[in-house]
Amino acid sequence: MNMITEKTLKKLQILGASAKYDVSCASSGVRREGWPGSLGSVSSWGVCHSFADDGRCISLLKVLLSNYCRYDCAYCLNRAGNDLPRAVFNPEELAGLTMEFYRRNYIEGLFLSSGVYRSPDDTMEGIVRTLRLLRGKYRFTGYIHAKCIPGASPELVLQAGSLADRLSVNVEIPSAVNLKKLAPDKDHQSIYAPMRLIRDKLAESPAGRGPAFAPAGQSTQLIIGASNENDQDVLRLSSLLYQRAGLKRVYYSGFIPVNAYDSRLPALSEPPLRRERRLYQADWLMRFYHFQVGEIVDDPHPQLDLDLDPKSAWALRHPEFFPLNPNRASYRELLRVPGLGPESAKRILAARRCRKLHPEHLAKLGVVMKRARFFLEESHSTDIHSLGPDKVRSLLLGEESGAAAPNPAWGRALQAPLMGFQRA
Amino acid sequence: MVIFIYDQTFEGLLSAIYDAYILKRFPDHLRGSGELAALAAPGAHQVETRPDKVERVFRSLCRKLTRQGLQQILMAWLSEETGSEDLLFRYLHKALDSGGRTEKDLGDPDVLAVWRLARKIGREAERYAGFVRFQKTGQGVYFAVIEPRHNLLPLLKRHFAGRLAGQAWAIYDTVRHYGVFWDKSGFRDFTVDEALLCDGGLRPDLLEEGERFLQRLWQSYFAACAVRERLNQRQQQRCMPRKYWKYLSEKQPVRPWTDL
Ligand code: SF4
Repeated sequence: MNMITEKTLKKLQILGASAKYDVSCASSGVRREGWPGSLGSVSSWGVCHSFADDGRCISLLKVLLSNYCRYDCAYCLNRAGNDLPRAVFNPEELAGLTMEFYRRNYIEGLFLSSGVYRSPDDTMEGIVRTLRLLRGKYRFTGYIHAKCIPGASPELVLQAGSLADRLSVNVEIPSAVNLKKLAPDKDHQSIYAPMRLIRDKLAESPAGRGPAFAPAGQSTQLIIGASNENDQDVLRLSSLLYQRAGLKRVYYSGFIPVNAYDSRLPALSEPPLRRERRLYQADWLMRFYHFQVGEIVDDPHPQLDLDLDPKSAWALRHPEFFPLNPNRASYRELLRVPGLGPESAKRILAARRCRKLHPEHLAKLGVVMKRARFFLEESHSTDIHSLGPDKVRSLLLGEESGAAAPNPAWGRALQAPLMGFQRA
Repeated sequence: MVIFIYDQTFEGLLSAIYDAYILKRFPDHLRGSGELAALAAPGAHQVETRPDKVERVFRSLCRKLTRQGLQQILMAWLSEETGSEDLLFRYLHKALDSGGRTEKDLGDPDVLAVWRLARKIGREAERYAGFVRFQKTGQGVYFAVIEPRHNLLPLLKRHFAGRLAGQAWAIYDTVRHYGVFWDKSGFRDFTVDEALLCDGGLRPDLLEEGERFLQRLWQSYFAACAVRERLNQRQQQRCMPRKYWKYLSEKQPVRPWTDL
């Protein structure tokens, strides 16, 4: 069976485990149906096929092509100096494995990265060969995310882009100084040059015309807490990456102290998961809620509040903005209310054209009234002005929500044919 | 009390709407012709399902609802929740009498209820789109078993036909005892002798030889990709409730793959 042997099992264990710290793994941003005879479609929402024991969604088969690496980045488990089991996939073997998994609906597609085994170009070539097998020989039309190896030649990056849905170049360490310190073999130039190349190529090939180049755009990952940048540094960088480099996603990975022996790294007792979560929330505020980075963090508040989500923190600093009238406020104003998201705001806009909305309606439309009540008119005497920001803060802390990423697309992808239903 | 008796198909529901407008009598309840309650309703109106009625009502609905609105109705219908047919009847009645904004009027309890029902089934379908696990049979068909709360096959078959067009696959619903088979060009409904099923899939002797090794590969990947420093099994169970585990290869005990 296409080069899959018992050795594959061992390799998969090694190369799956060594890819697990890369978090940029959602499939999203494009929608594509397969065609007769092909295998693979892409949903505009990321399908989760399973959830690992760490609670994270498994969507793509996320592996390294090789975990041999000649570089020695301080924050990385696979660095040259570490003594651990090493392996390399043969492109044919990996393409075959991907197909077998896909046919059984285990995965949404492939996420392929690699350690730098001989040279950046050799490595990138292996990645491109795997992708070419999938798209050509196997007629695979599902999702592929490929990593660009810093230092790989532009031609190879472009070839990868013509085969993959998404490309990523990981920034990893936010500031150039710290990157030099922790990853002496890399520099910001080797990261931003391919990023610019991809951006320019994307700008040339507007979606829908000609053979698509990385139709799901590019993304990157920042490691949080391996170096001393504060949240303001991190979020300013993200904001630049979104605006100037046109990135689709920036992922934040709370640093897991894998190489505790390395004195250049901070001594962490556990990964900064709370900080990571706040950064994601701040990131959503920039991408879906029309917040500017300067509204989330500024010089007096360079760090995010670990106890409170960044939108509530903003609302408490700006009581003058509230209370809002849900029957009159604009979409953008509604988005600023804690407990209200893009979906519930849109529902409010639609529903209020039909009738005047009262607080009991709002709860049914999905507004989390326990949080929103301090910021809306008609919420009786509980608004932020009568209680004061400090009191509201303590009440909100009691209501800390487990709200996850907005998932606006339920059911849109699974469209029913219009007739012929029988109750079984 | 006005009772309509219909054949419990979606076309029957639309025919009931048609009859109600013709008779100018709107039922308080719809009953299936096979239901006991239908016997106990003397003088109830018997709805005859006819393509011309369906066509007519459907065309009017297309003028009053957007594509998304129609989609919502179908999904609510597939939910098979008790009382959903009466609810849908009221909703359709409102939609046809309105100026065309009904689906947005979430302040209306019936509209809200339909929206919620549709969302519920949409979420279940979305979960299953990920959690369906195919096993390759000796004949080369990829076969999966599901146990959904709602009638998901009409939604899932479209999804998988778009995705796995190039292979023959079948999904079997053990709650409703029917399945859908895709033969690379079209669908067919089927049933199986349920004695052939075991452990959330097909009996091992019906599977292709390499199947168990493939499952083993997937189990190994599943185990390898969890980050130990971030273990969070509560989150895992919230996103992937235990009732699905029986059908997930990665959640089965690791067995040797050579003992077949
Ligand atoms: S180049 Fe990549 S794989 Fe190699 S040590 Fe650095 S981070 Fe790790």
